[in-house]
Amino acid sequence: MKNDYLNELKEILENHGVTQSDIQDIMSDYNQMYDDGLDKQMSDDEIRELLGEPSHIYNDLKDTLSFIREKSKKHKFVALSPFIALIIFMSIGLTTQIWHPTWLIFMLIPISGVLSGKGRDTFIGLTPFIALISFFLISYYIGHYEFAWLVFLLTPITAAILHPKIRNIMFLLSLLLGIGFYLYMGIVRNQFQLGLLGFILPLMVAIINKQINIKWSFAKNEIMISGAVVFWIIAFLLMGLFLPNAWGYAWQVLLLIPISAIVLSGRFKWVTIMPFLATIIFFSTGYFFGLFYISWLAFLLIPITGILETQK
Amino acid sequence: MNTQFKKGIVELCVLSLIKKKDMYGFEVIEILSKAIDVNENTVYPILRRLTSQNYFETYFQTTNQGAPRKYYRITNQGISIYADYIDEWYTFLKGVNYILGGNQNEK
Repeated sequence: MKNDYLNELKEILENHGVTQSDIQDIMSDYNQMYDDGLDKQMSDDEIRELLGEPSHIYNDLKDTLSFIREKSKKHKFVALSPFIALIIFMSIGLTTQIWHPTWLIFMLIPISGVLSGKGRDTFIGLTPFIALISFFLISYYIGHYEFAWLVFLLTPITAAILHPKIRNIMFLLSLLLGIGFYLYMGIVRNQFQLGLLGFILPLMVAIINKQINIKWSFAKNEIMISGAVVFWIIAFLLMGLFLPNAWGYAWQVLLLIPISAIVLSGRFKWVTIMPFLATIIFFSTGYFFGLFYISWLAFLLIPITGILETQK
Repeated sequence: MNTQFKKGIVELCVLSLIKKKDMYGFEVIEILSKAIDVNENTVYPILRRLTSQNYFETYFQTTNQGAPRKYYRITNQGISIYADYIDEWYTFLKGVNYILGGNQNEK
């Protein structure tokens, strides 16, 4: 457990291009603090809670770190990606008039950001975008939203495969069983709604394995964030199940999860939520009003907000 | 409570603890987390920042377990900034008490 914790932290620091001397210094401090916790007979979970989640530690350490400059080429590609995406989108759109699903090329922007990282988590980071693109291509060309959403499970499946620990493999197997049950109920019995019950199994496994942590004392914003996640997932499912042909647009509700989490965590900045807002504005105006040829302008909000917020 | 505001208070508490006696990282986190509802991620970064700003210096001391442990000691610069923060803190508290106590209506 100690090694898992320290490796997780080290990988995050390396992915952000932190210099080796800073990494060594921080790792040695956390190593010592972890040992101090063990000396006091604390459990791994207690120590983890006291020292903090590695994924959050980086944000708080950021202003004390020095970074490797070799990443500048990657940063240039990230900075250029909105313009590259726009040129490709306009070229294909104007010559073929196929604005949807050509707009998926804008996924190049977040993908380039993820690719600028390093390590196996880069691949996990790519999976939501691979899933989103696959979701649209499958549902657009084959037209089966009730199957297509399963591609979003690519992220937990990839994470479980790339981090092959017993509890992750157990989760993977239960998830595959859940998918099997869902497909069986849907295809053979024509009862997709009932098939959703199959996903209770991986949920239970994740709770038992503590991959989903149920705590009895929550900070106020943790309760609100968890509440928001549950609320938007229920809203997504209800819209998909009860509104006609809603799977095609209801997925946008899921984008409200990261927005809510950012707002409620107290780390709100317009630039952090703008990619999600821009996608919603872009897709809704295109989908509901047939304005895909102009709604791409919404993506320009991302660099505009970035520039305005940096100037502040 | 606003995160930035809370971080400022935790910073003051960290300075105060190390001013009283030299401490190691885990000791500071443990004491603070018992006394106040502190975001666990913030304490070590504060120790690191205050050290990089020369308010603390570090040294290693061997322990019973053998491995040397990093201790934080306040510098003269740290003592001086602590005095400034304490002044700011009590002026702020005085203002808050004045508002909360409703004394401004008595003028």
